[in-house]
Amino acid sequence: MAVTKNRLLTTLTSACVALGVSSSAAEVTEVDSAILIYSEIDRVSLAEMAVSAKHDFGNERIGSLKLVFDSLTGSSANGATSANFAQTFTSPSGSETYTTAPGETPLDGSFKDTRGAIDASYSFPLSRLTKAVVGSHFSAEIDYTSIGANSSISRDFNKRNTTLSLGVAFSHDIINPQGGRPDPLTTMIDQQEDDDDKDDDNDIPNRLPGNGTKNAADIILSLTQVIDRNTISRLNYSYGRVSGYQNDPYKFVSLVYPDSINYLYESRQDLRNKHALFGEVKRNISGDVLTASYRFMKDDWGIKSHTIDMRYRWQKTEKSYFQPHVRWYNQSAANHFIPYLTTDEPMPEYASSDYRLSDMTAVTYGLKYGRTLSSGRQVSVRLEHYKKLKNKSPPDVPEVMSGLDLYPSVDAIILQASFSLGF
Amino acid sequence: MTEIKLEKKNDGWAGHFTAMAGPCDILINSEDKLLAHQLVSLAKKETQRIESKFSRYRTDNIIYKINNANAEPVEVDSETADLLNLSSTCHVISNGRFDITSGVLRKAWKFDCSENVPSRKQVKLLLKYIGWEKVTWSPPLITLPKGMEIDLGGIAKEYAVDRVSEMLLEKSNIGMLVNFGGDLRVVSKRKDGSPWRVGVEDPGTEKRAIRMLDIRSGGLATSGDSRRYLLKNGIRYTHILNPMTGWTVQNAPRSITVCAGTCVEAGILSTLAMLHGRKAEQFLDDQGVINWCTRD
Repeated sequence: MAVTKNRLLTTLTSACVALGVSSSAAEVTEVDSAILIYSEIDRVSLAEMAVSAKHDFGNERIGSLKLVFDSLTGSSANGATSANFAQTFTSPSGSETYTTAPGETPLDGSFKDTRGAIDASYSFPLSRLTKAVVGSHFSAEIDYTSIGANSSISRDFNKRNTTLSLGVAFSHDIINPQGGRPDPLTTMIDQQEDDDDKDDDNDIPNRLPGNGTKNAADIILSLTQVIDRNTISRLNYSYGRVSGYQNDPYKFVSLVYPDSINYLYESRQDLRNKHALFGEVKRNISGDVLTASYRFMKDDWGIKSHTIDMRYRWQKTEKSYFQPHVRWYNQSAANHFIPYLTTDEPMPEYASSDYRLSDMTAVTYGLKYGRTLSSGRQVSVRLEHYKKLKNKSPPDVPEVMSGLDLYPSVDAIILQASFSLGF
Repeated sequence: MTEIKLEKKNDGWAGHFTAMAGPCDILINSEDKLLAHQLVSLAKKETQRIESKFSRYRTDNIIYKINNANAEPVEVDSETADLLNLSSTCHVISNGRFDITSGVLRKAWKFDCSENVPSRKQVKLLLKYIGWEKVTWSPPLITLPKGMEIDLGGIAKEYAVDRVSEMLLEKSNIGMLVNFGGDLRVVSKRKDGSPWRVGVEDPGTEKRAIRMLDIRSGGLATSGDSRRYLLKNGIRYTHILNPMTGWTVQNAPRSITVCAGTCVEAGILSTLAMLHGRKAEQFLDDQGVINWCTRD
């Protein structure tokens, strides 16, 4: 009296109907919302609102949608070096100028942006052990638009103790800074001679024609392995290739003369290949969870970076937990990173003074507290401090910068609150 | 008699009482305390009715009557007949793995976390008293051979969850959820359309872990009990017994949670999956039901 697999459920359901209990398809949904305030002390503050929704269509088919709106205001280091005299900068549109006091790191205070992003993904089974995910994203801000798609396929092996997955992602970005794209390594508008018509956008000199575009492609190979009933590990290798316009139109490089400074727009290579290896171990220690990870990244701009990340989720009570977090990051500088240019050397083809491309070490430490309310909704608060440690100033500093802190540390406080909306 | 406790939640009331050897919760999406009390009282009454009617520990119910009929036919009421029909169907679709006559095995197996694994002989002697196919079931008459007994304990709790849900649905159209210690059923949606969030204990783990789920409709049941087992020579004997061999199922997950249209379906699917041992996950995946299996 063998009953085929598919008929089993049907037979069971009709037997239950005979019991006088009506059956309705099971449905599961999860909703979360988060507000993030990122405050680079005295610099940029970011407020982020994210709403994500997940829907289980049954049969392991899950769709998710995430909407993010964020707003950045404040100041951002513009790349120019500090100097012993006041420095005046002009925004890329030529309509705003700002002045930095002697000895201060030049910050672009006109920094203001609002971004909207939408992310959608859908995962579905291909067979009993194989799952596929397809997704896409779109984001837009005043001067930047990004559109992309991704797909991955994963398969379980070894009684589902091993999962192997392969993913690809593509994105196409359009960069359209206000006032046009500056021509790399040319002088900032205000310092250009014969510039008496800067109100007319079409007439701004030293601009590249049209929008900048950037294409990125990534391949990720991932292996997840259950080690024992309390331990799970993951190993990822990824390769990414970015080609196109990669300059930051708002960053300068200082060209230092014996008695003055000229500000040039930065210039970056237009091709970047990245390789990254990531390993993570999660272990359940009698109800608490320890997560430790290490990431190594190497690119052909000359950056090599190491990231060590540790977090410990301490389940204080059944409904609340504390999670301390420590992260250490170290990278070597990109080949074209230079704190400033001098007239003694020939002009390089590529140069950027963006601290994110410099030789640096940064430490993040923070604490997260989460709680399940009696209604079953969850709230969490995360407070983190990011600190870029100081680098040593180079020897033989030109006169105009002597005695100044050329590589200031960066401090940022990140405060994030998230809660489930449950709609 | 246990008392009803009403607890104020920010979206209504939660009623608690104890029955069927565990906690019973009714979540009610209404501020009306009087109505909540009425509904919980009804739920409790219905649960106790089912418990006393189908408990094998009582001497005044239909189960006792069937088990002590001395091979004579016993006429059963329609509700008992419905449950026997369901058990019979499950016996067929599980190729004999689901069997309400397997309760006699508890004479040999006592899951008290000790080393007391029975001898092969002990188990073999009991096997002749097991097998639904040996029972004469021609509704409404059931005849059990001598020495055999039935136990509906494997489905009574899930049945109570569904029964109570049906009853509450008839009484009121406000959002409600019935949760008897993790075996649960959505009665109706909440007013604002949001899902019910429930924490389901994963009994497979030593330290209690809670799985948070948002459920809009359907039922859920969990099989597996970390507190009921035997341990001998490093082998763990779970309390899941295969009625065809009389031995515990080896290599079964520590716990299985299944989502289905009703709590009874979810309960039967999780029990059947347990009986598939190492192939539990495959069995559930073949049925295409949402499930979570925890292994060592």
